[in-house]
Amino acid sequence: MRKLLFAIVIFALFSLVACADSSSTPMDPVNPDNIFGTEDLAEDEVLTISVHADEIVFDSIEEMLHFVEISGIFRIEVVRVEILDERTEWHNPALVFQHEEALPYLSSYHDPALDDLENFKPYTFHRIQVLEVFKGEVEAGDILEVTQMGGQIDNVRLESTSFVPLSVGDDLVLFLTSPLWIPASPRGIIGSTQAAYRFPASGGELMALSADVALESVNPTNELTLTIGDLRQIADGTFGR
Amino acid sequence: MQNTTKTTTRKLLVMFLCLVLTISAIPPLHFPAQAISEYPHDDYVFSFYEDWDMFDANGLAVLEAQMIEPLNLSGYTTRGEAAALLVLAREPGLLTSPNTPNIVGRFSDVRPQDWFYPAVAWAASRGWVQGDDLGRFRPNDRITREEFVAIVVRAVDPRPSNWPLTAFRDANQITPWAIPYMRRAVENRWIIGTPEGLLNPRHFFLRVDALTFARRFPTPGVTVNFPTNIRTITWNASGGSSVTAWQRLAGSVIGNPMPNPTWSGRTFRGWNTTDGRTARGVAVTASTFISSGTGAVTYFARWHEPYPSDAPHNGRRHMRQWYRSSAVTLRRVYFEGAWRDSLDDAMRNWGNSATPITVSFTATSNNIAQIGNRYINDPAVLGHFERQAYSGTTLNRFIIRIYTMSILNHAEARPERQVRNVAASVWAHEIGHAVGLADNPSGATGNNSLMRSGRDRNAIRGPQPFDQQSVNWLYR
Repeated sequence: MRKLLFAIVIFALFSLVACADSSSTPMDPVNPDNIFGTEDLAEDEVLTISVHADEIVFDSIEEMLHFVEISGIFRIEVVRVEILDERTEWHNPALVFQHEEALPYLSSYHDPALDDLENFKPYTFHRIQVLEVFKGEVEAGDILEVTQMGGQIDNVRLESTSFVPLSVGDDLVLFLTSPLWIPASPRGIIGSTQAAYRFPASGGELMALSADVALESVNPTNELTLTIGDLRQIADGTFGR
Repeated sequence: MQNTTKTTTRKLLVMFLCLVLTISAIPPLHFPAQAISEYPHDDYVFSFYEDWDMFDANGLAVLEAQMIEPLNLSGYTTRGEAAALLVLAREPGLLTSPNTPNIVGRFSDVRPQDWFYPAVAWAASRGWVQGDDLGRFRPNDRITREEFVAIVVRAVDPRPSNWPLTAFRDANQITPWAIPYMRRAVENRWIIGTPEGLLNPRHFFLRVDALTFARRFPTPGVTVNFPTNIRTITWNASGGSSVTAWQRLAGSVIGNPMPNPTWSGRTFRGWNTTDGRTARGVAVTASTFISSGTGAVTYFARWHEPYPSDAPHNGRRHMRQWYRSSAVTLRRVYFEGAWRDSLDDAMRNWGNSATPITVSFTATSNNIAQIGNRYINDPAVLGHFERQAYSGTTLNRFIIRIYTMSILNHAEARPERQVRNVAASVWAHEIGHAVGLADNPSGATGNNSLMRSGRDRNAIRGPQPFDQQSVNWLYR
């Protein structure tokens, strides 16, 4: 009888330990094993996740700017920048919704439970230096960060079809977006295919170039045209009027 | 009686020792070249693979196949092993030659029954190795770097060298008799030193170092001799012309041309260790061939099949993987109501299309359909498809997600757009990715593709004839 009692006590102790272990160990959201099941990978094996986005294709630059502005939660910046460097990190952009400051910006349709479904993925961060500002509250000389889904960390590689290839030293005009409630938030590129243009190789400042010079889109399938004249109008607030 | 027992015990002990010696004398046949860099070694006198091309495949094969105790690469190289390695590299046929020189008595610690006897005998008769002042070879002692360098220089390039060693901070630690050998090895760039500028002449040589070093000196005229029928290679042409299985026989040389199959309309792209369906595998080269183990093995043909002329899209707009079955299952995560209605619409539109595709909910599906508020990084994104798991061209698991707030904004921008229609279009688009349709760039296919980002999402909520043609080709 004493043995039976002893066995029951031992069993109970084991059960308690097991329960305590499973309930008190929170899942590490940045651990790729928890997200992608990478623990089964061989050391030299790379898990490649590919992501395809169904993105709006805007009929005009004006429509693109308008779409972002009516959302009521996004800051928009149109800037000429130089790409300084890049790095890759685990990132979950949906975390910005968890800021208390976000509440006034979110409509009644916003369901906080859905934000938890997003997870950490490899994101590439580019540091950029602002050279000229056509729209937005930043200033020339500011250093910002642009982030895009995609990149490789350890043995998890994420390929995104909407990834805009940026190279260190590039001189680009970008249409950037970020949540209004976080001034220093990393920027996203709006509708990746239509929001990155190469500044004319001749360089110089905007005013030194002819208004009808068209900027080359980074994405060759982009059918929108952005001219120096458009940028001047964006800068003086007359664009689209 | 007691004496008899003692005698029996002694006999058993001797038999056991003989067995151990016999086993230890069997050269292992498998040496995974890829594993070398995974083993620790104490410094980086010899960088790996730097001079891989210096050796022909045969030379590499010999060294890798015959290395003693290959799984213990982090261990030290003994003098006996070094002798064997050297002979194998220079004249591998010697070890199986019946005319081993008689060196009995030359070294007090080398006996004819020792596994290293033939190697030491040949190396000594060639003048590559020498004993110590006490008449010993010390075959089981660990060999130092300078000792190893000395025997290799004697064997391969004994020319005198005055190459300065001043570039190395520890040159003064080289034993005087070894200096000429070290000069030659450095001049020949068999040794390049550590990044810290050290030669570490008196450090013991790791097995992995010995192997790497051996790769650095030329092995002209090396041929490979293997025990008879140690490996049977079957070439699987997977539909191409049949290729006779090829057995590696004694005296055969790895350099034998690999048989190339033919297949009408396809181009042979080489042999591979897998058929590519469950794992990518690696291309079979001469060194893969030799180091891939023992026993029977099958290698598979890799074929390039030009995209069929009757295939839609000119081969440009299919996904690399498409779902393993035309019966697609989804598990809905945490949403009901209007957003579910839109997904129902999309699933119905696929099910009613002129394709074999059906889409249904099952609670156990690995494929997830979920909704999010916004893709905060880019408000123009209305939905995402994530390929989660695949093998070859088969998609095994995926996630589709739509962003409700962005869809609301998109719908509100034009009065004719209905939220449910836009959402259904995005769901149907993401399902399209799952069944193998890639995005169609704007303008490339007009407005009649579900996979075009610039489509009218209010009107196009299921696969169009253009899309159906593609899917039917994939699931033909």
